Amino acid sequence: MRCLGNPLGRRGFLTVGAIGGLGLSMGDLFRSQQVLADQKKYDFIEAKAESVIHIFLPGGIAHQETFDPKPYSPLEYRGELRTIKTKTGDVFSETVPKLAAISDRLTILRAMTHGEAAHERGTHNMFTGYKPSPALVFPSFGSVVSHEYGPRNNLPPYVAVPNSPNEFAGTGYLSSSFGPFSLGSDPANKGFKVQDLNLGGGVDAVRFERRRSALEAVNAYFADKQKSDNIAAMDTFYQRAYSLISSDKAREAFNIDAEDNGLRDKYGRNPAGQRLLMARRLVEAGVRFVTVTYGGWDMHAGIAGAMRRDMPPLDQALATLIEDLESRGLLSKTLIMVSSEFGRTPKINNDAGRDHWPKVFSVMLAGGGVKGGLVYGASDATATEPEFDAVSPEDLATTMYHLLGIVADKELMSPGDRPIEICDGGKLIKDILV
Amino acid sequence: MIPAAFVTLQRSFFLFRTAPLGAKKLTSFFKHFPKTETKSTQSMIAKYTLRCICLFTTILNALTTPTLLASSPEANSLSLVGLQRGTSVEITISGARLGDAHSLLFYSPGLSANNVTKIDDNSIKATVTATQDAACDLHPFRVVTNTGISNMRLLNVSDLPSIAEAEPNNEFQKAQLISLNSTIDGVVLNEDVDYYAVDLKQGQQMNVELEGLRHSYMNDFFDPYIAIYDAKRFEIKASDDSVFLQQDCLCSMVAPSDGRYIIEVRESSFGGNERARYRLHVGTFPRPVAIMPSGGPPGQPLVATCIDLLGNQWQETFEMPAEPTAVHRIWSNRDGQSAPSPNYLCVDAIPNVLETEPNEDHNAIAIASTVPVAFNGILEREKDRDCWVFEAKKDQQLEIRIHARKPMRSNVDPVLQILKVGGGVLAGNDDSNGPDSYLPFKVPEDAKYAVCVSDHLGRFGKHFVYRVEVLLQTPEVGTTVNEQARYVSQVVNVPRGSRMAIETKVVRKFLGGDAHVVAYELPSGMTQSDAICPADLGSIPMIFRAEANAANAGKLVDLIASIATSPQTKVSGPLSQRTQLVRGQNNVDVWGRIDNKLAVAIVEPAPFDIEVVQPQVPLVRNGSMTLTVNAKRMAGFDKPINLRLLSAPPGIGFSAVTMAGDQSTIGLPLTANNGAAIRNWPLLVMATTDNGFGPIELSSEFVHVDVTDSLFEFKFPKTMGELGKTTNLIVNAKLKRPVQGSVEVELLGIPPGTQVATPKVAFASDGTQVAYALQIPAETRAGNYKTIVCRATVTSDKGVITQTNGNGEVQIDVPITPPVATQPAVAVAPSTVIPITAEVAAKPLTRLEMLKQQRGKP
Repeated sequence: MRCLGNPLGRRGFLTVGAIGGLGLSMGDLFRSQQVLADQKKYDFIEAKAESVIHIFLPGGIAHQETFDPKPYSPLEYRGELRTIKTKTGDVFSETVPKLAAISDRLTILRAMTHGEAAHERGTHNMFTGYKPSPALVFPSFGSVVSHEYGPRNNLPPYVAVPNSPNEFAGTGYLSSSFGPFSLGSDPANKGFKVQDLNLGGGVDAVRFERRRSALEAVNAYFADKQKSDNIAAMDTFYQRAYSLISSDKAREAFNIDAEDNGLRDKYGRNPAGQRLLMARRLVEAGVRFVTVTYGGWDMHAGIAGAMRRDMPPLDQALATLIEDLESRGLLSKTLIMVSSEFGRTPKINNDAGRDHWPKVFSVMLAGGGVKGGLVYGASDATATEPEFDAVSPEDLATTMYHLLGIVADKELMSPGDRPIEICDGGKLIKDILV
Repeated sequence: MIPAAFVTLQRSFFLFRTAPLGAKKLTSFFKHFPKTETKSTQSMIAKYTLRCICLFTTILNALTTPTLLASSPEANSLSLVGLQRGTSVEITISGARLGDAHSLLFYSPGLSANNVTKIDDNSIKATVTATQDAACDLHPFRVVTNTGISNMRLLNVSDLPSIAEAEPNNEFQKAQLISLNSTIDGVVLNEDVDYYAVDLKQGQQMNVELEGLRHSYMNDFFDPYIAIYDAKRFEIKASDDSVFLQQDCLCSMVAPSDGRYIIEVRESSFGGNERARYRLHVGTFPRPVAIMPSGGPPGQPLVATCIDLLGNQWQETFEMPAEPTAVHRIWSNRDGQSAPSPNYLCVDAIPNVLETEPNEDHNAIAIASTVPVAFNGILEREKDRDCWVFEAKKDQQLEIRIHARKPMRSNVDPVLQILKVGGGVLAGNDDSNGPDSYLPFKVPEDAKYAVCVSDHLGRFGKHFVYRVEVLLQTPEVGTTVNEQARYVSQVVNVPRGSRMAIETKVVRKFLGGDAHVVAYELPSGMTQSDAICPADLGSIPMIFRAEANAANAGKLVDLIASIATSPQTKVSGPLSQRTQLVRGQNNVDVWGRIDNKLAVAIVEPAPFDIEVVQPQVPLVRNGSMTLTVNAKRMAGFDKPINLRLLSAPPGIGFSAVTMAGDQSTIGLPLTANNGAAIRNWPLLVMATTDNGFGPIELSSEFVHVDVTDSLFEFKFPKTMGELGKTTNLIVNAKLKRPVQGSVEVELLGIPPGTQVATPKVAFASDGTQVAYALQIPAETRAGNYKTIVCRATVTSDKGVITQTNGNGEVQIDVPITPPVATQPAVAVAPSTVIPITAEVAAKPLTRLEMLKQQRGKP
C-alpha cells in the first residue's frame, strides 16, 4: 500500500526505522529516496542488436577520401583520389571498393557533426556521446553496456582490441569494474596470445586455487579496512578473470589461431584484418561490446598517398567482416559502427594533406537493426557543412543504445547522488532503423 | 592472473622496454619500484607511465618527422667542427650520397677546401684551410657533388690553438689538463661528462665560451651545459643557456686564489651522441656581451665601451663599413687577444645620441633630437625607464624600432611607448620584431615626442644595452626563395642540358611597382629566365637553365630584386634566405642563419626531360583543364616520374600525378574555382624521379594558362519528382559571351538509381534552358538530393573548355495515396503523371510551373 506521491510503502517505512537505529537519519533517507524517485528509469526495450563492434579510427579519417567524396568540386576540395559507384548507385572514394560493392548492407551518416577540433575532445564526443565536462568524467559506450547488461557466457562484456584506445574508453563515473578488457597485443602478430588467460608455467589447478584463496584473504582484509570502489572493482575483475580462466569455451573466443586459415587470409593478414576477425570471434562468443582501434588517420600531409596505403586493408577487413557476420546469421544481431573523432578540412592544405574538421564528417553503420543501402544526411557541395539531416554524437549514441535495447534517457547514478542520463538530449534517428 | 587494468599498464611498460630511444633511463626508473605494488605506487606508476608514454611518443614523433631534402646529398656529421686560423685540418664528412662530391662551397672568405676525396658513397674527406685573417666565427658551407648541393653545415675558426679531447676525462679527479688560451674539440656521448683542468693565478679572469647547439643539425638537439669548480669541487660558475650565445654556454670568472679549476661539460639532460660535437674556448680573451653604443654611422670609426658578463668595461675603437649594414660583426681585441666570436652592431647613416640619466620623465628632458636619430642606452637600474625626445613634423611617416636581441643579443626584452611631450601615450609595442619592438608611426602634428624604453619584466644590468632608431620610412625591396620542401632552404641544382625552377618572393616595403629579379654571376653555362614580378604579385617563378656542355660547378650567387623609382633611379635589395639548422619541438626554429647568397650548381644530366603542351583554350572560372605532359626518357630509363606544379596561382587547384615507368605522356589536372584570379599565368611543372641515387628534379619550360571568367551562367530551379514517375529536370543556362565550337551541357550527380536517357545535350549559343527527363524508378530512395551538377563543354579544334557548376536540388517523394472515400479512383492516376509530350518538350516546365498551370495561375 502506498500513497500517491509517497515513495515509501508500509514495509519501506518500517525499514526506515531500522536504518534510523543504525544512524541514518530520516532526512538523509528521504533525500536519497527522493533522488532515486526522481531518477528517470526505463525498462529495456526490444534489442535489435545483441552486440556492437565499434571500429574507431584514431586521428580523424577524411570523409572526402572515404564515404563522402565531392567529385565535381574544384581539385583543392576534391583531392587527388577518384570515386567509384557503389552497388546502390551512390558514390564513394576509390579507397573503399569492397565496401562500395556491398553498400546495400551499409548505412552512411554523411552529416555527422560536432564542434570539437582537438583530438582528445573529439574522441571524447565519439566515445561517450557527451561533450567533455570539467565536472564529470563520463563512461564510454562499452562501459555503459557493461553496466547495463553485464557479462554473457563468462566473457567480459566490453573488450578493447588490441588495447584500451584512449582515456575516454574507460568507465567514467561508473565503477571501475565496467572497464574494458584489453587484449594487450595485436592479433596480427605472429604467435599472438592474450596474456593471462592461461595459468602461468608450473602452476597447476591446485596451486592456482591455493593462490586464489590467499589473495582473497588479503583482499578481504583490505576490503574490511577501506571501502573503495577500486577494491570492489578489483574484486570484480578477479571474479571475472576466474570465470574466464576456468571456462574453456570463453578462453577459446580469444584463440584466433583456431580460425580457418582461408578466412584469416580473407580478412587480411594485417592489423586491420586480424583485429576485426578477433572482434567477430568475440561477439560470436558473447562479448557485448568490442572496441577496435586501427591505424592513424591524422593525415596533415600527403593524404592521397596515405589513404591509398592505409585504407585497402581496412576496406577488405570491413567488407569481409560484414559478409562473415552475414554468413553466420549474426549481422542482423551485431551493430557495426565505424567512426572517428572528426573529419578533415574541405580544402587540401599546402602539404597535400587535410587538417581537423569536426563540422561535418561521416560515420558508417551496418547490421544490428539499421537499414542497408542508405545514405542518411548530406554535406554541402564542398563537404564543409551539413546540408541536411545532421547527426550529433548524442543522436548517434542514442540510436546505438536504442538498437541495443537501452533507453539512452535513462539515468545512471554518478557520485554525489547525481543522476546523469546515459546520453543527454540525443534524438533517435528513426529513418535509419529497419 | 592480472586484471585487465593491469594488463594495460603492463603493455605500457612493454612499450618502454622495447623503445629504441630513452629506454635505458626509463626502465632504470621503474627498477626502483617494489614488486608488490601498493595503491599509491600503482597510481605513481600510472602517472609516470603516462608521462613516459608522452615522452616516448614525442621522441618517436621527432624520429619519424620526415626530413625532406630538396637536394640529394646530405652532410649529417663532421669529424671536426673547427680549426685554428692559419692551419689546415682533414675533416671527414658523413651523410648520404656524398661520394661524388667535388668541392665545398663556403659562404664567407677565409676558408678553402681541397683534396676532396671519396671514402665511400656516403662519406668524403677534405682538407680545409683557414687563412691567417679568417674571421673568428662560424663559417657556413655546403658540399657540392656531381648530383647536387648538400644541406648547410658550420665550421668554426678560432684564434686559439686547438686541442683534442682525450678520454678518459669523465671523472672530476681525472680531468684533462689543458693550457689556458686554447680551444678544445670534444664530443658528448650519451650520459658523458667531460672534465678539463686549468691552472689560474689569483685575480686572473677566465672566460669560457662553448659552441654546442650551434654545431648541431636538424633533430640532433644538443643543449650543452658547463660549470666551473674549484679543486674542492665547489661550483664557482655555471651556465646552461646564455642570451648572448642563445642555447650555448658562456661563463666568466675571476680566480679567487691560485690553483686548479675544473671545467665540466655535459648535455643539460645528460643526453648526447657521437654527433654532439663542441668547441670549448677557454682563455683570458676579451668577451664583451654588450657594446655601447650598439651602432653608428658608416665610414667612420666607432669609439665604444665594451661590457663583459662581470660588468668590466673598457673602450675600443671599431672600424665601420662604408655602407649601411643591418648586422655588422666586430671582434673585441684587447692585449693582443681577440674574442672567439663576434659582437654585432647596426650601421646606419644617422647620428648617435647617448644616454644621460636622469631620463625617466619624458616631460623633463631638455634636448630634442631631430629625426632620423639613434638613441643608445642601458637599463641599469631596477624597473629602469629611459625616455628620449625628438621633434617631428605633421604627417611624417616614421619607423621606430628598438634593437636589443636583434642583432646585438642583449638581455633586454624591450617595450616601446610613444608619448607626446606634455601629453600622454600615443602608441606602443612590445614584440612586433619578436621580442624586439617595432612601430610604424604617423606623426599627428608638429610637436615634440618621446620614445620610452623599458624591459618587459623590469630587469636590469650593466650589459642591458639597447638602441632605438627613429627613422623616416624609406622604400626597400628584397627577395626570399620559397622552400619547396618544408624546413629546407632552397638550393638550385640544374641538370646539364635541362632546367630547374624556384619561386622567388619579392618583399616590397613602402614601395610598389614591377620588380626585376636577377641572379648575378651565375656559373659558366648557366642562365636564368627573365623574371619580372608584376606590381600586383608577390612572387614569381624563375627558371635556371644549364647548357649541355657546361662543366659541373657550384657557386653562391646574389639574387637581387630592383624596382625602378624613376627612369634613372631604382631601389635594389638582396636575397634574405633563412636556413634552419636546428628545430625544436613542434618544428620550432631554434637555430639557423640568414644568408644573402643563393647556392646554385650545374649537375649531371637527368635521365629524362619533360615538355608541357601549351593549351590553346582558356581555363574558365569553375572550370577544369588537363595539362598534357610529355616525357623524353633516355634509353633504359624506366623509373616513374612524379609531376606537380611549382606553385598554383590563387584559386587554381592541381593534382600531383605519377607517370609510370612505361609511360611517356600523362595529364596533369587543373581546376579553377569561382574566385580564381583572372590573368595569363606562367606555370611550371616540376618533375622528380629517383634513379637509385637520390631524387633528381627538373622543371618544364613555362606554359601559359589563361584564366578567364566563367563562360556559362547556370541556375538550378528546384526539381520535384515522385517515385515510379518521370519528371522534368530543368536547368537555366546562358552563355555569357560568344564562343567558337560546339557546346554541350551534361547532367551529373543525379540521385542514385535514377536515370536520364540523354545526359549530354547540345546547347545553342542563344539557349536559355536545358531540360532532362529524369526517370525515377519506384525502388529509388525518396529524399532530398542537392547533388545535381552541370558540366558544360565547348569543343573546338583548339581544345575543350570545361565548366562545372552545381548544386541543383531534386526532391523525390513517395506518391501520396489519396483517401479512397473522398476522391474517385479514376481521377488519381492520370492527373499526377506528367506526360513528356511534344508540347512539354517544346517548353519544358518545372514541377512548380506545372502545378501553377494546373491551378490556373501564371
